[in-house]
Amino acid sequence: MEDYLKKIAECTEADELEKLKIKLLGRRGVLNRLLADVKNLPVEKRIELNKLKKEIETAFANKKIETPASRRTSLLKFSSAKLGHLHPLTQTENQLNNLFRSLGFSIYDGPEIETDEFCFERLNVPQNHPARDLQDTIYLQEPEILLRTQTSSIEARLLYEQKPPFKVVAPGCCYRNEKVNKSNHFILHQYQGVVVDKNITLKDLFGTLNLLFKTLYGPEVIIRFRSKYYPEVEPGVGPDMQCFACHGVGCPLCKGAGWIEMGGAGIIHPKVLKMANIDPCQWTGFAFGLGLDRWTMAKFNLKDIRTLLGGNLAYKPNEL
Amino acid sequence: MKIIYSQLKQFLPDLKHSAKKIAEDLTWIGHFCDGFEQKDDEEIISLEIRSNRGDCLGYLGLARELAILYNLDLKIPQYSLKPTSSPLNIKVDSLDVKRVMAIKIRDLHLAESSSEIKKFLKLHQIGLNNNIVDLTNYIMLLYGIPCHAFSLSNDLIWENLTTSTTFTTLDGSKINLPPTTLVISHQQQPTCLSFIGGQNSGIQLNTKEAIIEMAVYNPTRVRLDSKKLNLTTEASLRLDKELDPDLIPTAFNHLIKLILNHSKGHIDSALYDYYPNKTPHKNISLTINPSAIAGIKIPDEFSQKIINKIDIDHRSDIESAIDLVEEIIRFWGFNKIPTDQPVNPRILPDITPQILKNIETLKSELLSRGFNEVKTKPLTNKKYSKSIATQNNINANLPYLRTNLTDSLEEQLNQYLRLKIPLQPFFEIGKIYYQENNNLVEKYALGTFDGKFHETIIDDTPREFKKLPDTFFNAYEITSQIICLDANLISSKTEKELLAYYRKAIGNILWDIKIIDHYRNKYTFRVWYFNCDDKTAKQIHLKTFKLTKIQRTLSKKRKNYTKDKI
Repeated sequence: MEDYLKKIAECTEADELEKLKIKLLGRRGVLNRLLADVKNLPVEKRIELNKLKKEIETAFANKKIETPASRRTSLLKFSSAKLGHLHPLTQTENQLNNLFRSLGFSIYDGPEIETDEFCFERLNVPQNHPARDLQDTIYLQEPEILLRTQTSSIEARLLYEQKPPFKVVAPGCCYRNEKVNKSNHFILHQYQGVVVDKNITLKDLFGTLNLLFKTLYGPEVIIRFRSKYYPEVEPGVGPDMQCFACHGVGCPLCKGAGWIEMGGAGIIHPKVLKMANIDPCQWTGFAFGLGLDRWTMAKFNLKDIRTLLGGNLAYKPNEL
Repeated sequence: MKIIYSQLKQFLPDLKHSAKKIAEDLTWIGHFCDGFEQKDDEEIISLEIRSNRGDCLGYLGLARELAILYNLDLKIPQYSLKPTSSPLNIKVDSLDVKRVMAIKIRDLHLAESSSEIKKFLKLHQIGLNNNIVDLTNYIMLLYGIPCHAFSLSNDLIWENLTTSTTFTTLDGSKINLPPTTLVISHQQQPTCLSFIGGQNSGIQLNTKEAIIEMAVYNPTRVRLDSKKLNLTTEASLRLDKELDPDLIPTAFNHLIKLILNHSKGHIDSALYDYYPNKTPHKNISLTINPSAIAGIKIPDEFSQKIINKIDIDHRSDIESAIDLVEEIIRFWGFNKIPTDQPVNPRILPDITPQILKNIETLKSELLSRGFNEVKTKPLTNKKYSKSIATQNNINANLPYLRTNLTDSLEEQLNQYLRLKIPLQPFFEIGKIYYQENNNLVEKYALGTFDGKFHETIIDDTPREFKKLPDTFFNAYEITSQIICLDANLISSKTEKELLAYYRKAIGNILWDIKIIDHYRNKYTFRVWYFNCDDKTAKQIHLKTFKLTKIQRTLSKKRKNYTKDKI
């Protein structure tokens, strides 16, 4: 009997195992033949036999041999497809672009080398506005040609180039003449949105931005809109997000305010529409601009803003 | 701007709301509360004032806002002065001066300020001086209009410098004033700037006579002066915004009254008031319906009430009907506008430029080919003949816009090598910039690295990216089982050469080919054939690898290697 147990253990082929099983446990198998005259046996012998039967049964149950089916799956070893990765900023932009495409928006673009006209004048930035200061703008040919300081210049281009109605978002980078350090960069990434249509109101703006933040930060996020000043919009508003670290109480992350400023928005100033030959009596619109860098840093746990552009950003290979 | 809650009651005697509530409500209407503290039994609210609301850089302006918001009566103290008839010998000779009021006071007794004034200034973190200077600071905070006291009795001229001159400020530091700086001169020497006093006319403890002035200037001039000299003061922060010249008499009379009371002095001149271009009375009618901008119903009575309460002549930021609409919505409450109704998702014609679509396709193709995206700085220190230079970039190590992506990617590669990161292929899609026939041009470009660099300009025609690295459209219909066969081979060629050779040799029924084992010059290939029957695959396999019989897949037998025939 011990031999049989050994045979079971040594068996490597599924067919052999099956034959062995029939030979031992089959209707005319070895065990059944022994059990046939069980009533003539003493009690000890009976117990022993029963024990043996159980042993053999468990031996079969525990024995696993690759059947043709399991062999097939192991053959299907995944040839690991090496997928590349998108830059964190692109991932954030794509997330937002997908949302806005579903709301019927187009994506737009504009030049980074801009003129004073499109970067400031057409956005109702008066001649003496601090944004025009040399300290903030990088000039290529002063005072006319510069690197755009805000993606609102795309808005100015859009209003000039397209006939309303339109709904547009535009990701882009812009430049400020500032020193670079761990938390400040002279290259910023912004996300601009512009809608010009009939009967556009603050309600549309608030609803749209609220949806945007919920898409980025999750449904539990709390957003408020307060009055703010930007020359190109009137009324101007600033969306604030309740600080996710302290929930509005005030902590070092939100500098004690309880809220984090997320960007600027508002109803496009009638002057701006007029400058683009769009009749403000017939059309209204809203515009918003948000910074993407901080959000992307928080999401990917980057502590140094310089990582976003070149340098120390790398992608761990996927595990598949 | 910091405000002490209890001091607001000077202008709003009926104020009942708590300091916390006020801080919250001011935030909603545009004056962001960025700090709240309790100190010396006082509650102090710290506010961020919008740059077009210079009027709110004083208690009075904020009290005006609260009076409208809470429907309270505003109490502005009115004082009258008794000037003498002897005229002051002062003159304005600059177009940058909007209004100046001045008066001379004699028999001054200088001393420390009263404890209330001292406490007030301390809580505002303003340094203490003597009772005259402290009072000018006190009035500046109260009304938001800076004022100044000179230890001089005559001969002051407001003028723009024509040549550069040196000037010593109150704290003794010497600065060089460029031409066009607005100064107040005494005996042809600048004795004071619009926003900072000079050492030679400062009030000293023995000063008996003084000229007190309050003025409003062209804000651009003050801002330019302050920027050029790299000097910011409490006064410059206010004077570089639009202030209301019509508020000067109220604030000035209050100041003189306090000075007379605190220093026991007497007025010794006529009141000097230079105000050549009076602010015209504004006539703005509400031609835009506030409800049509807010998206919710705002009752007409409410709009009318707000318009009646706002003193638009005192508000330089209100210029047209849309500004009135903002005021109405602001006081009605932005928080009453629902936030759960996004813009109508109706589809409008797609105006997305073709180039953006190309870039998106390109990125996903590169991604599927195992390329990682990197982004690098568009500015560089490498100069080429067609480079565009920046004129004033304070990051002096990056003075040029890049003319190609390869330099940037090389830098990225070096960084990866420094950090010993196992290399994976990477790419960047970004802008390059160059001069062409005196035009500044910027173009999207694609740069890739997969062992070597490749760069191409992306154009907005769909044709353009077909030129890019080989197979982009690799989706196939599979019509029969994929057949996998191995081949053992001895060869002196490199893996790469062998793979390239056999890829080509097998042709279009090849699904994939890999080297699964490699020892010295012995290779084991595994080849997957697709869309062909078993027999054909075997034939091709034998022919390609010059084998005599099929070598079993997963064979553990000793491998028979054949010599490669490349």
